[in-house]
Amino acid sequence: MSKLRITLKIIVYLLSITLSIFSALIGYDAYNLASQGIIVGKSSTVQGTEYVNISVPITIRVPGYFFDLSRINITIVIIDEKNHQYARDCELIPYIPLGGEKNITIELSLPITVAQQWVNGSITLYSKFIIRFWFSKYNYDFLGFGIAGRSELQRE
Amino acid sequence: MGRIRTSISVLSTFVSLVILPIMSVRTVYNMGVIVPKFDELTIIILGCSITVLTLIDGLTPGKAGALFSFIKYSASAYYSYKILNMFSWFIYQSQQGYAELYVDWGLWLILVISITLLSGLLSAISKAVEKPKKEGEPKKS
Repeated sequence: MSKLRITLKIIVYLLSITLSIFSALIGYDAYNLASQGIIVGKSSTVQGTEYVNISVPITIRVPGYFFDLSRINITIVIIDEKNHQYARDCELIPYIPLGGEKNITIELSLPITVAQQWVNGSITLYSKFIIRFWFSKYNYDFLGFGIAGRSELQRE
Repeated sequence: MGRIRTSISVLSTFVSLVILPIMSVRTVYNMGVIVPKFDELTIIILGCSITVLTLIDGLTPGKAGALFSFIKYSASAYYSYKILNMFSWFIYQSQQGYAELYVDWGLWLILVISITLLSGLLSAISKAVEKPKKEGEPKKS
């Protein structure tokens, strides 16, 4: 009976240690991804007759220790103070293995009338960056994260 | 379980389930991060309930103790479910910008609850098979 009790206690401790190790791995991978995993490059602008086309190169790397990334959805939206949307584009990356990287380009078409109003200073524009992804392993999605950040577009 | 071990267990349960979550939310609030779904009252009620169950579990021997042990772990699983759902939306606002973080606990939440319930079951069985102390046997503190 005593042996059974000790065995059960050991299993309980092992389960709690496993949970703690997994928590630490998620924390470590999330920290690495946040600090060096998402690199937004310098955007380029091409002016057309009706639209100003803005290209934003983005590199997603998986620099962690254990988890892969899956179902990565990256969206950039250009909005004003009232959350009115002027341009939007999104890219979906199904899977990036541990240590891998993927380059994408977000293409935004901003109406030229809006761009002129913004240059004149009559409206303030913001870019909203949204990224959603899952930490996955062995084809199982363990934990999902969604990050949205908004910043004001700066005039040169 | 000895009385000293029970006291330490009760104290650590109260600190980790009530004090730490409330203090950490207040700390991040001072740094500009809001946790909109956080409900302090639910944390206090659930945390205190689990603390009381830890005390009863520690003081009750045999099969009754095993039952309380399983109830305690079940309550902990429910606490995990509630607190993880509370920590699923964070807002950071400053003069420089605005950011939001969403966490979908998905399979991780199922894993946490399953492991907690399994641990509860194993812990309860181990307590149930514990040999009762014989008369005259010196008590361990």
